Amino acid sequence: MSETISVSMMVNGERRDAEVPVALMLADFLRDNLRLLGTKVACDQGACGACTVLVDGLPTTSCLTFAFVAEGRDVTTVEGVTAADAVWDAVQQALHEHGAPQCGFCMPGLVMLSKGLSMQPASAEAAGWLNANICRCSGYEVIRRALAPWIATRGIPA
Amino acid sequence: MLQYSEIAATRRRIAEFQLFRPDSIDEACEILAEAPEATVLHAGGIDLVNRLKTGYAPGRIVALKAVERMQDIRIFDDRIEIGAAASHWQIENHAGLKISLPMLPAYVAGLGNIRVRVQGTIGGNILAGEPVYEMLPLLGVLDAELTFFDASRRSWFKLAARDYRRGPTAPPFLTAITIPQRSRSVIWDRRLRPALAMVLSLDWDGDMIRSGTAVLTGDRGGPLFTSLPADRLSRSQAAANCADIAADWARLFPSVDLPSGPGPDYCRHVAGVMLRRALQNCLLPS
Repeated sequence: MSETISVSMMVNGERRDAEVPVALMLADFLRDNLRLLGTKVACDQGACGACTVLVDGLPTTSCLTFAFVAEGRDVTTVEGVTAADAVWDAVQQALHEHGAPQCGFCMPGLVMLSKGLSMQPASAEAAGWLNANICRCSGYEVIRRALAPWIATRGIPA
Repeated sequence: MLQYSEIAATRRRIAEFQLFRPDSIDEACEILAEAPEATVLHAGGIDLVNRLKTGYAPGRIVALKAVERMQDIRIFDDRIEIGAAASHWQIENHAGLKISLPMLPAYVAGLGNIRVRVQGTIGGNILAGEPVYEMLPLLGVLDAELTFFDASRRSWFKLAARDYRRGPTAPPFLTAITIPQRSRSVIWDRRLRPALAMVLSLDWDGDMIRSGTAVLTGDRGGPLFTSLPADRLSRSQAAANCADIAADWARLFPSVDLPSGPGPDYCRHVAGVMLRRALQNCLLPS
């Protein structure tokens, strides 16, 4: 019998309570318990960033984060970035317009990584922020071009 | 409730464990002392979770997230105390540290990537015992001291950061890092990492170099600390003879090797070039 634990967190603005195994990863909680399938798991060791979600606004590797660690915190997945009346978020729109998605598997993590940029202090260097995630199609140049305006303003509208 | 069977079959299961969530250091020490060999600490979790996924099964995990004291950064007149569970992100963005010890946030901002810095902790970086994790070289030249609890002996002890090396068994419980407040020049060169990185520290007495330390680290080993015989060298003397001094100091370096490199002699030469550049930068007027 697995040891379980009660977790309660805000996910995309909605309170979610569940009884989960202590060893459950946040990525699995999001995908399997909540059926939020936008969060991808690729390398499963924290290297690629495909599973990136925001926890309290900061990019977090959900495949290396136990679900219980997010207890009481605010989790945002790619499903939660789009306003109710919009098809896409501005970052998604920019990536789409530049043709950045190839296989597309890295995109949800990349979108979430980019959304976390607004947490970066204005004095800090922002260009290196996007180095955290890997695109296996190696579409970095297009991604960089698509997100350059976002990086320049740290996601804060001018 | 979903079971592991629903998680993709290509992924490794983590063995079941008993979870403890203390809210004080004393409570965490008690839990550890009950079964030191079967208990492991969880702070950021990057290395631990990856080890768990490859079959490591400690049986008991103590999550330190609720121990607020272990995430504190406190600045005193004579020292800085950093809780071992403080994240790199916290250190990188700590307003007080940016004033009292700006080299530390600047150095930490260059570690890993943003996801690693958000999740990873200073204690985890030290205890992982990975030479490429980079905190020990800086903490070593800053004369930092590590405070440990030895659960087997139920006793506390302190150790200089430059003397810490991870052994084959689980490390003791690191609770805090103390850095004395002292003026010194510290410069680093991490452009060749993970193959080779260097930290150079010079202690000054007015315009004279009182002592120096260079640290080499890379994926073949380290950190390797070398005391440099500065012996009250003046800034102008050092600037005038920078290349010769760096060459003399580089001969003191222990043997280092680069992966796929042409051998230790070449690596020592590369380290010497890095040292000369670092020395030149240290001697620039502040």
